[in-house]
Amino acid sequence: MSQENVENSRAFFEAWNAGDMGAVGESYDPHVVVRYADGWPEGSEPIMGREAVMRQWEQQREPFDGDTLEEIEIIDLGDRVVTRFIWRAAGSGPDLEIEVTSVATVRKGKTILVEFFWDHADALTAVGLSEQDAHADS
Amino acid sequence: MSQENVEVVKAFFDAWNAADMDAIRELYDSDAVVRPPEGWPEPGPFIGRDVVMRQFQQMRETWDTDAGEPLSDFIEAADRVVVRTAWRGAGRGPESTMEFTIVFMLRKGRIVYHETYWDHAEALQILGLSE
Repeated sequence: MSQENVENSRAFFEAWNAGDMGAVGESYDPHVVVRYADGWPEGSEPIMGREAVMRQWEQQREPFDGDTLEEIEIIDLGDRVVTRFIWRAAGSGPDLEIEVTSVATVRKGKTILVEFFWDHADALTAVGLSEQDAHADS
Repeated sequence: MSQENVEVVKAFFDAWNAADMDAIRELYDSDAVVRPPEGWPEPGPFIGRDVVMRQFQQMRETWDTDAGEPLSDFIEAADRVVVRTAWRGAGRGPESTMEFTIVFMLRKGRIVYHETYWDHAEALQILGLSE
């Protein structure tokens, strides 16, 4: 199951980069919860529900002509997938390049919880891993 | 850190059984998320400490007294703590005992997320643990 979760996570990135927001939405449980990192531009209160999350992503992408997610590292943690990635966006205004780590919890093939961390080490610590553990496992 | 997490979860049970809802409140992150088991009358998830506490209050109001009894060890799994629980309520109407397994997730000494399963084996399997 965990390898399947990793594959689904990669499929999410591919769908995002292809602009296929229907497929992005399909990866979420209808009652998914997204917890932002402290200091997230839109505020750090969690968002609940697939529709609300998808609205949020659409709003985030809207100001740019194009944007992509670039995977740096992906770690299989059984029912969770840790992904370190860069969000690059360009268009009106200055280009954007943000590095973030997400921890996605998956149930029955759908993501039910996403947590974002600015700092990769913080994310690893949160899930009980060190950078050394993460590289030993990958 | 995980032993510290177990202590927080034990404190949750102590506070619950002492009906010290202020102490329970202190154990939750302000943006905590609580996901009830499948088929629960109010499906949730409940987001934010205030909402979670309101939900707990409503659950307890159904009975004159209630208590949570850990039935298993407190199982440490990195940032998560798993415990099989019996929740017993008595007072108006028939007495009630429900058994379920709670998976608590903690960050910086606070509960940020918890989800509940009717089936203990299912909860363990999901977390990659065995009985």
